[in-house]
Formats: sequence, structure tokens, C-alpha cells
Amino acid sequence: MTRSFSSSGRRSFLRGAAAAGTALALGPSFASRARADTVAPRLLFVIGASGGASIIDSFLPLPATQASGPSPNELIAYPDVALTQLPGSAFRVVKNLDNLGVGGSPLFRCTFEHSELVRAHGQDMLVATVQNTSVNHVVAQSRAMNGAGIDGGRTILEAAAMTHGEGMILPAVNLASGGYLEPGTHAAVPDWARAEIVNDPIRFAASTDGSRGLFPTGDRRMPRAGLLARARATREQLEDLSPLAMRTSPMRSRYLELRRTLQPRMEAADLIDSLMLVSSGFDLAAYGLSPSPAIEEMGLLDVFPHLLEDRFQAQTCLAYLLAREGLSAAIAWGPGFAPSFLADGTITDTPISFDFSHNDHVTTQNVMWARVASQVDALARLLKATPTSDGTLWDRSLVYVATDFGRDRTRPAGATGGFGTGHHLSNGNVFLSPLLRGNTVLGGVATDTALTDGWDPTTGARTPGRNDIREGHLYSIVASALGIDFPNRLDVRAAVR
Amino acid sequence: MSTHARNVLAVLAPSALLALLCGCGAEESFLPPVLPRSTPVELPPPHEVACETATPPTPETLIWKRADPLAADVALALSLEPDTMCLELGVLPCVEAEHVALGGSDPLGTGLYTPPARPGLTTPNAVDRLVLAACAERVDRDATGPAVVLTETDLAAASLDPDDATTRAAMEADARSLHRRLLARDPSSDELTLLIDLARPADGLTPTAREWATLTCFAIGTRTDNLFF
Repeated sequence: MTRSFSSSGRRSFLRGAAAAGTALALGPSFASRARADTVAPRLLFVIGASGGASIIDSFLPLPATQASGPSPNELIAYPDVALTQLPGSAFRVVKNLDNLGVGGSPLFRCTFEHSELVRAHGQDMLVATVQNTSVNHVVAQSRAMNGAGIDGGRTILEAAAMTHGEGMILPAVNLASGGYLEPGTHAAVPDWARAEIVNDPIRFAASTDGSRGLFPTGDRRMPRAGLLARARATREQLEDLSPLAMRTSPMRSRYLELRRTLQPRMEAADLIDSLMLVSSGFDLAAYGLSPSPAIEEMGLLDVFPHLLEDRFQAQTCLAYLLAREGLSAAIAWGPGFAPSFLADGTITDTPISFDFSHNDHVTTQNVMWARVASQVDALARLLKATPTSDGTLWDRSLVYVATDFGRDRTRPAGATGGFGTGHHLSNGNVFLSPLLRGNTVLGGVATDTALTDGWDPTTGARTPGRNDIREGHLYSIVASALGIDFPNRLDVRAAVR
Repeated sequence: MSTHARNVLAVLAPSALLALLCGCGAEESFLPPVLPRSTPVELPPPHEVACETATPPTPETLIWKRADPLAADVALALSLEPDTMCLELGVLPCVEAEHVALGGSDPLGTGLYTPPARPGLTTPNAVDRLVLAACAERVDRDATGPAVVLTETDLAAASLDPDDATTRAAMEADARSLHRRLLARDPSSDELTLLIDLARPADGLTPTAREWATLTCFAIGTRTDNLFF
């Protein structure tokens, strides 16, 4: 394992941590601040593919014709008819079995083809194998976010927020589930870089304003805005008279700081409008509100046709808006426990996401990978269509499809479906970014075991029969691409442009 | 001390020592595993960055009154129903829509088994919405029907004159009542004065009696005294 103990990197991180501590001590760390440098902030998007998204069922499948070993028909492998490899592409991908008519499920349906993701963004796509270190969902999810502690317990969201989100209103936002939601344990992460947890993407906009939209316009119950401001000012004076003012309470101090500095910024920025995903079904205008202008400008209802019914689509849409509005530098989301039910009766996800593989491996992996790929594709297309002063938002974005672990590699002899799998440490992850080495597979799949081989972090050479890549490498890939420095960052130059 | 107890201590002590020296947690704050007696105890490498830069956190002395308890308290204080006193777009209870922002957990939806440790960036907004809507609803009901909470002030008045003795007495009675209901104590004279002064004209705006009552309730109900204990 090659470690890069960069002293300059170490010093810069320590300076950052010290500055964060100072800001906390001084108080208004949530106030608007100019960035110290002029480099455009890079953006991190993490999709937590909860439950165990198996790389050999998506972007690194084992062709059945190549399966070997003592029981090749007991390895999870796909027939050629179920695979696609685009010309010039490093990725061989599993087809959508529902579209193919050879599998799929009458219950769960997503018609997106994995190959569409490769076709549109393959030049910026990297698949890197990994040997995970836990088959416990929550622990594994947490490690997918913190690199199994390689950065002192800081999550990659927090690291990205600290590096690129300073001064933003919501530097890090987490809409994911389970262990992907867990905050880091690094004591030097400032409060402002801890992710804001959002459980409802559709209604999140309402919580960005203390009063707007509570009542229909002109409702007799609502005091005039100027008077509300006066009441807030009076409240501040009352706080000074509070019996709690004599108590030392970091929590109360934080709350007051948020209310005094961040709430006015949030309200002045009209986030309740710019993040409003509700565009039909409610008379927003009657409440003095309006849908996000981006919905029409970017055709978001075409990109996310089931925005109000499909939680995953709503999450992706909100993630895009947070980035587009310059509000956040690090955003995580992903399918949760409950599937979305569409009005036409379609169930878009399997229950408990990828973990439904316990019941039906092939269908679950195929449907849920299609779901993930469709949302990554939607986000990437939107980011590519969003201009900045020097290109598009995509130029400085990175998408990390995080997952818990892989799944078992075996099936009942010859079975093509209807079997379940357990958890397995062997897996791989998908990344997309122009900052990474695109159209690249690091590692591979052993034909006799269907387990993933590793790769050399500096040369990228495959290491047959061995996989020394761990969660810390995945973390280091993201950190390296986004310019996030920390003392134990691994040298993963094989993955980065 | 039994042999077993000594073995357990032998396992725990180095970790406890590490935590004391370091002043910060390791990657995951799980208890160390119970190892077989013959297993040598190896200390994990300390996380040097955290140890070098972290200062011991200030002990927290207060408890956060989170989503459901807060809504229940406000509803009880104002004689309202927690599920209807604040509705987003007229349909969804605020305490449900902003549950996590208000400090709640979401075990069945997102697997958020442990609620946020501290107020989030949007918590002040969520609190303001919940309390403002509840106060406005209470005032509206008291103004249009039999008064339950604001029983003394003439809520139909276009304005209130705090310098008029009768009016002031009524306002003080209602402000005191709100204070008792929401904070379970009487206001000090300074606090009472600040609340009464909310009725005075300022910046070209003169509050109506309803507005004064709503904003007084809001100013009391969103104080940190009502959110932490």
C-alpha cells in the first residue's frame, strides 16, 4: 500500500482545521464569507446505493462464456445476449432484462439501460474494484463515506464541504439513508461543514424560510412581514434576559448563531422558491410561492417525469438545484427502504433497495442498477447543460456511486433468476467525473470465482487473484480528484486525470 | 476480582487510556470486542490529526426539546391540536414535513435511527414556522369565537395603546398568560415591557391587536427557553 504523507498537505489541513476552530470560537461561522481563493468550488455528489449494489451485475459482469473453475454454471454470470459493449468502450454492461424480455419482474420496473450511461458519459466514467471490510449494512455504509477512518473519521461529504463549501448556505446536504447519513467523528470538522440531513426532498424548500407560504396571501392570520421582523428583534432582546443565558450550552449557542446569521441569509436568498419542487397539484401562487424557475428553464419535468411520486427522482432534482444555485458543494442521496409507487401502478424500486437481493438477486440488481444509472445520467446531463463562466458545472463535478458491499457470487447451478444472495466483501464502485481517468476499469473479475481482482493504485495494473483495494482507496480517489488534502491520503494516481 | 473481570479490564483499559490521551473518538465509537484470553491486545494507530487539533468539547448542559415533544407542548399551551395547528400548503402537518429539521428521527423512511445530535441549519426556520402558525391559529380562534387563551385583550381593535391603563392591563394579563402557558413561568417586568412595546407604532407600521397577540405569542414561543431545558 502506498501512502502519501505529504507534509504540505498535512500542514494545509491543519491550518484549515485550526481556522475552523477559530471561526467556531469567534461565533459567526455561518455568516457569508468570501472564499479565500478564486478557484471555482468542485462539487461532490454521492449516491448511496444502499443494500449492496454488486458490480458484477452491472458494469463489470462475468460473461457466462468465460466462466471457468470447478463449477462455472454456479457462478453468477450473464449470457452474451444479456450483455452490451459499445465500440471503444472499456465497459461491458448488463442489459435491462425487462427490456430484453428474458427476465425482469412484473412488479418492479425501471426501463433505463445501463449502456445509456456509458454511451453518454463513458469517457468520464471509472469503475474501480474494491474489497470491502464489513458485511454489516450500517457499518459498511458508514465506511463507504469515511473511507473506513482513513481521514480521521471525517466523511467525504464533510471533507468536500470543508474544502469547497465555505461560505455556502448549505455546504453539505445529506438525503441518503442508513449509514450513509451518519455524521463523521472527526472532532476538527466545523459545525458548518456537517451535513444537513433532509428526509423529504419535495417539502425541503419550506424549511428554508421561517414564515413564507404558511398561509394563503392576504390571510388574516398572518402578521405583516415588517412586524414579524420586529417580533424577531424583540425575541433577541428577550434571549438576553433568558435564564438560560447564564448557562454554558454549545447547542443553544449554535442555535442562536444559526438563527441570527444563517436564517436571514437563507430567507433573503429566497430558497423557498429556488428549491421548490412542487409544481402541480397545489396552488402555490395562492400561498405567495412559485416553483423553482429551473423546472421550466431546464425542463426538469421531462428529466424527472415522476418528480412528485418518485422519491429518488425528487432527491436527484434537489441535488441538482442545490449545486446549480451555488448553495452546496457536497450532496448525498439514494434509494431508501421504501420503494416509490407511481400512479400507473408501477413500483420503481425493490423494497429495501439492493438488499432485496436476498429474495431475488437478478431482478433486484437489474432494476436497482437501472434506477441508479438513470439518476446519475439525469444529473450528469443537467450539469453538462448548466453553463458557468468557464465551462459547465460538470467540469468540476464528481459522482461517486457508493455502496455497502457486493453480493454472493454463486447461484444454484444454471439458475437464471429466482434465487437470493447474501452479502460479500468483494465488489467495485462506479465514479463519473471529468476529473477522473475516464473510460477506465481498474481491476477486473476472476473468471473462476467471479470475485474482483484488485489493481495497483499508481500504475493501475490488475492484480490477479488478489484485491488490496479498500474503502480508503475509494475515499482517496474522490479526495484526489477534488483536491481534498489530508495526511493519510493514498496515492491513487491511476484513477485521477 | 475474578479472572474474567481482569481479562475484560485488560482489554478495555488500553482503549480507555487511548481515548483519554487522544481526547477524541476513533473512527467508530463501538466498544472494543471481547477477545479470547490468548489474543494479544493491539492498540489501533491513533488518528493523529484529530488528536492534534481537537480540543475537548464543552459539556452540554441543556436538552433539546425535539419535534413531537415541541409540537405537543405548543399545542397543549395554546389548546390546539398538534396535527392541525400548522399545515404546510394547508395539508401536511409541519411537524411531519419538518420532522428531522425539528430534531426528530426517521427510522422507517430513511433509516435515521438516531436523531440529529444538534439543531440543523434549517431548524430555526422549522421552529419559527411551527410556532408562528400555531400562534396565528390560536389568535384567530380567540378573535372569532369564545376566547380560550387571549381572553383579556380586545382582539378586534385596529391598534392597542400601551399607555392606556386599561388596555395595558389587558395586554399584560394576556402576555403573562402566554408566558405561563409556553414557558411555565411569569415574565419579568423587563420581559413584559418588551412584549407590550411590540404594540407601539414603529417604522410606519402599527400592529393590530391580532398582530400584536400573534407576535407576542411567537416571540415567547420561539425563545430558546421553549426549545431547550
